Amino acid sequence: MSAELLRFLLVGGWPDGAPGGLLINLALFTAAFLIGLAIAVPLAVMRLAGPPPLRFAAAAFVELARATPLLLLVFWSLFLLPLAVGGYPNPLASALIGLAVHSAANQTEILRAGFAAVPAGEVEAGLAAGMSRFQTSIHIVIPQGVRRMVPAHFSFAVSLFKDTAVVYVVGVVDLLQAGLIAAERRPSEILTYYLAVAACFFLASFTITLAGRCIERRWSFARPVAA
Amino acid sequence: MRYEVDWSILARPELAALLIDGVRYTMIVAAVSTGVSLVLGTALAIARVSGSGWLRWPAELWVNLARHIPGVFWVLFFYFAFPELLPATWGSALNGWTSFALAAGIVALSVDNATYVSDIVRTGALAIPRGEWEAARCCGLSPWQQWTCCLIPVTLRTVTPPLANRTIHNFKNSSLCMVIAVPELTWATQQIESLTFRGIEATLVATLFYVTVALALGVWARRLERGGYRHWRGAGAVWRRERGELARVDSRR
Repeated sequence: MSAELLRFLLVGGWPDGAPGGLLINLALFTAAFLIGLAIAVPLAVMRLAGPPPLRFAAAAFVELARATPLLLLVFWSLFLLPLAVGGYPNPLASALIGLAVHSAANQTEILRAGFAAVPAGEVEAGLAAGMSRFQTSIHIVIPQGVRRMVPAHFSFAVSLFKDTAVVYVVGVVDLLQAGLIAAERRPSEILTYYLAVAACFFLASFTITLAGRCIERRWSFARPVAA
Repeated sequence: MRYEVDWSILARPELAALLIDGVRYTMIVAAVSTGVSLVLGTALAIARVSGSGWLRWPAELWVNLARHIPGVFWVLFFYFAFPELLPATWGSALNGWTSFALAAGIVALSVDNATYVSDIVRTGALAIPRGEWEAARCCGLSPWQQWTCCLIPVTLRTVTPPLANRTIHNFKNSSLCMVIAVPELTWATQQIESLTFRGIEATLVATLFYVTVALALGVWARRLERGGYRHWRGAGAVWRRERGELARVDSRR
């Protein structure tokens, strides 16, 4: 495999031409994760403490989005985006929207489960000690809930990164598509390219796993919270 | 841009047939790959908790590798690259086999799902109290009997709810097989889109199907989680009662 093709797998035509390859996967992953988190926080609050109509709406969104395959979410945004804003179907934007919806729904569920796992006695103790509901949330529920959800959040991050590979279906030149193009150009080296693609995916997502383990160790319950 | 929804295309027999076949293939792919991955994942989990380093290390290595590679990669790998790994005559025989795409998709999803199954089963097996492993050994059971008579039945009860959740994921992942043109439901919607430019109607039908099945499986998984204890007999229920969990579950009911 030539250095030129390896570069194509990693960054596509960037910086002279269109970015592609692993760079696109990393960009989509980062954007979808952060957008998802930004949507998930208010949704989780709505699900846990909102008035009944909001609670129901949030639950309905989460359940529907989680029950739909990611590929269909991407196809839906490919269909609906031009109807909403006009213009031609945009594969990259649609891929991002699909991934962001998937990520928002799953992160809401992780946040909800994490906060719900804080024992009710802890909340009652806070209230009994004279703290307000808000203070109880800030000082008791959130610090413990966040620590509880770290493992689930990182395993979701790994699966979201892997899921960015499905965007190749709508024609985004991500790592997988770049590998397929390269393999088509040199059919005799097909195994080399598949191996290279697998190695890139592995290294990138394994880095996320390692980061998760590192944070988990630091934030584990073994060490008391600094006051 | 405007889009006029036209439901009549779903009544056209050739398009309706695509969707009906799609449902059939989705069910076949999901059911067979779930079954295979349960067997494969359990075997990997047993290797990972076994005393022998010769079994444990390759299994650990494999699971950690496979966990970090996308499912859609496996689908493409087994369809396009796997035949190249075989001797030329076998490879061309595979490529000439009409059901090869279906088989490759099922194998790929099984490999992908087996990793998660093995994690779940391993966690379940490690949750068995030490005394129970020792008791099985002290009774003079052979390693095979220890597994089949004691450890597997006990583990099965703890791992059923998470496995049910995993099955929902695998069911949704069956849509990945569209990339190698297995005529499952997602592929059928894209086929209808390219034949008629009426993808929205077909995609809506497909989404309803996936959501209905996934939510129904979810309700089943939650019932297993909550009410499963009642039907449990034998060692699993006994040690759970000792740990006070049964009492907690009973009081909730």
